Amino acid sequence: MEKCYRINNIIFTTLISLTLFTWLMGQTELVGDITEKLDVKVIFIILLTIAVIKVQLIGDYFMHLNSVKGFWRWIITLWVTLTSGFIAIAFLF
Amino acid sequence: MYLQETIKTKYPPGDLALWIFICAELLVFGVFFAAYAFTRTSNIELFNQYQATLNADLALLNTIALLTSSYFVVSAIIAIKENQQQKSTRFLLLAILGGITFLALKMTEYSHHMSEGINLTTNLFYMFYLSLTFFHFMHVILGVMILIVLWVNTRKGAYTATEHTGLVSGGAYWHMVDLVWLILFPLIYIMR
Repeated sequence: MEKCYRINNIIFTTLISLTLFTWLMGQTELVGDITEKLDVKVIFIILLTIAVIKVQLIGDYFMHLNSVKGFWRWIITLWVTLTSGFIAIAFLF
Repeated sequence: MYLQETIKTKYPPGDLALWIFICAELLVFGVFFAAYAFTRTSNIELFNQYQATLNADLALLNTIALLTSSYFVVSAIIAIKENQQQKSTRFLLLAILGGITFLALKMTEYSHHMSEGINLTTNLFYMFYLSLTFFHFMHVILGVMILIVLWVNTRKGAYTATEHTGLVSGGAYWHMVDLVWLILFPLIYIMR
């Protein structure tokens, strides 16, 4: 069980780190030099990818779908792929 | 073993009916997100202008509150699998506090908007922002109520190492509320 708590801690720390990075990307006054050099579409892709990774981590480790096989294993992956796909089409094209 | 079972099951942990409900909820949120994104394409200037008026710092705190709450729910389930009801009860209480923190922060944000006379008819951006976040807000309220029921049940000793379907099901709903916010946060507050 100690290993379960340890994995839980690692996932939580990763989620918080990615969240802070997402917030930082929105703080143009703080990271203006970096974000001004990057294309707005590149920033969008980075932010969307981070959001997808976070959702997948919640699905796999918090909702425990990594221990499921078949259709239900991929239910969150399917949802986040479709949702982020539509968002990407709208923002990029 | 909550996080590392080696035997793969056919169905997700918890009540399957609740998972079907979760799918329906995710579908509704997915349609909302797509509607926001496609409506934005013909109103980019307006959306960017009013997005800048939102408080991304409060949204960050909200995200941290929800993630921390989800973390404690997972910890509560691990504890119950060790037959440690008291430990599980404490984790659930912390999870409830995370949910209440989210609600308090969101109400602060809403009261600020209301004091500025902002409502659903102010403009298209605020219509989406208020609808989406309030729809999610209602889910958080329901989630906190579920967590309180789980906390009471755990205190009463209703869950054991071998039977804790209710706890896992309620936890899955709470994680759904969390993962929806993980898309909502960058979409509404950060992406331009």
